[in-house]
Amino acid sequence: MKKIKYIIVIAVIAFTLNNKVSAQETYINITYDMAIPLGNTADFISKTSFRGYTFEFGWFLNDNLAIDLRWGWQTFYEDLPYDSYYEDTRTLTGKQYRYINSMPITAGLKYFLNPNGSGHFVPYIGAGLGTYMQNVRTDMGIYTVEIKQWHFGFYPEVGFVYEFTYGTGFMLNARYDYTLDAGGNNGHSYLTFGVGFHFSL
Amino acid sequence: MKSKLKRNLSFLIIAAIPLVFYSCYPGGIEYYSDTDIIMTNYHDEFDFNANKNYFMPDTVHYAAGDEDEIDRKFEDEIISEISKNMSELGYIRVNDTIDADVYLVATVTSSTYSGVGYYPGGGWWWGGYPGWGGWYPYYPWYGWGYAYSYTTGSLFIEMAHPDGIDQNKDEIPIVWMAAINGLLSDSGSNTLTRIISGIDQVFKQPPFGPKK
Repeated sequence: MKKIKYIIVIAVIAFTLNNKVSAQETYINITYDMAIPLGNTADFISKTSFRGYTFEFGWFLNDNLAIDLRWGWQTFYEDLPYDSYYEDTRTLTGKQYRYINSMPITAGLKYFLNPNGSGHFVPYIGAGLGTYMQNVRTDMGIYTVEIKQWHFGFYPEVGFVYEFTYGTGFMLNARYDYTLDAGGNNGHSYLTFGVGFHFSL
Repeated sequence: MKSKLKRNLSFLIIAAIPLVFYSCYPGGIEYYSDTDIIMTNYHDEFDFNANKNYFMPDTVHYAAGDEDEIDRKFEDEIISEISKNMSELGYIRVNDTIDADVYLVATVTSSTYSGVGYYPGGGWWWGGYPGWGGWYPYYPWYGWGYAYSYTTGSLFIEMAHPDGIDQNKDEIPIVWMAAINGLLSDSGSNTLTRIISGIDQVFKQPPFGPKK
């Protein structure tokens, strides 16, 4: 019985040490994002967004697989010409300004295909899910209509890191963010292209 | 390791600086004319074709406010332009309230009004209408939560239906209203043109004009 206890303790220590070695590092990604609106988002605002960014903090679970937390922001904007707009019995004539602010707070996994290879080029695929705060607003002269809603959403992602110096790399990725309807409000979707940096810590 | 961390953090801070200057609401209103907005709304169960006699005072009402720098020289033009449009729509202006199916009142705000979620009518003035002291306007289409901010000099035109008055509630039903933001707050040379085109526009909108 005593022997079994010793074996368990030694196995736990060995596993912990081994884990520490394979969980080699943590990292931070920071990207500037451009997004093409799709679906409901494109119906409301058709213009591509050039206002977005993403912060990610991640941990390697092993040589290939990492888990990360993401916080981002994407702002869509479009102004519509002076015209009459109708809603039920109400008519508004003027210029219209539309905004969507989307703030994802998600957790995801990334699988790096060649983390310890001889080259600097490390492609990856990833996916994640979480919550998105989405603020849809219309300004028209003196009127503002605003909907703030938390949505559940998810995303697949592909990209690569090009490590140009030890621990620091250039990063490029593409991500499809999709949120479900919530609170009677439409979900949104958009295709994001991010360019930025990867920092190993 | 420490220097690597320090170096990376420096990179991070430099990279993050542009993000601080990001705006959640880019673009938007640039010129004074961008704030021009004309809003109309109406009670969809009211028969506008069956109530063609209207009474309208010869003067514009100025809603009490802290500021009172509204140019009042366009009062005649406002009343005249409303009358012209009503006449073109087949309405007949009567001189006695007893003969009127509906009452029409033009109100100009002499202060800034803003709020959220409440229907932003100009009806505060109806409570001061002779014989209707203490009564409140009632908007049958009430709803739609939005924020608003009417600037000084906004023109409201409201149509009340006296036969629809609820004596128990002291409410005056407003069956149609129009709001033109900030029309009289600008003393520029094109003010009269804006007044005329603004008033003409409200009568082109439903229920008097079609949805385009």
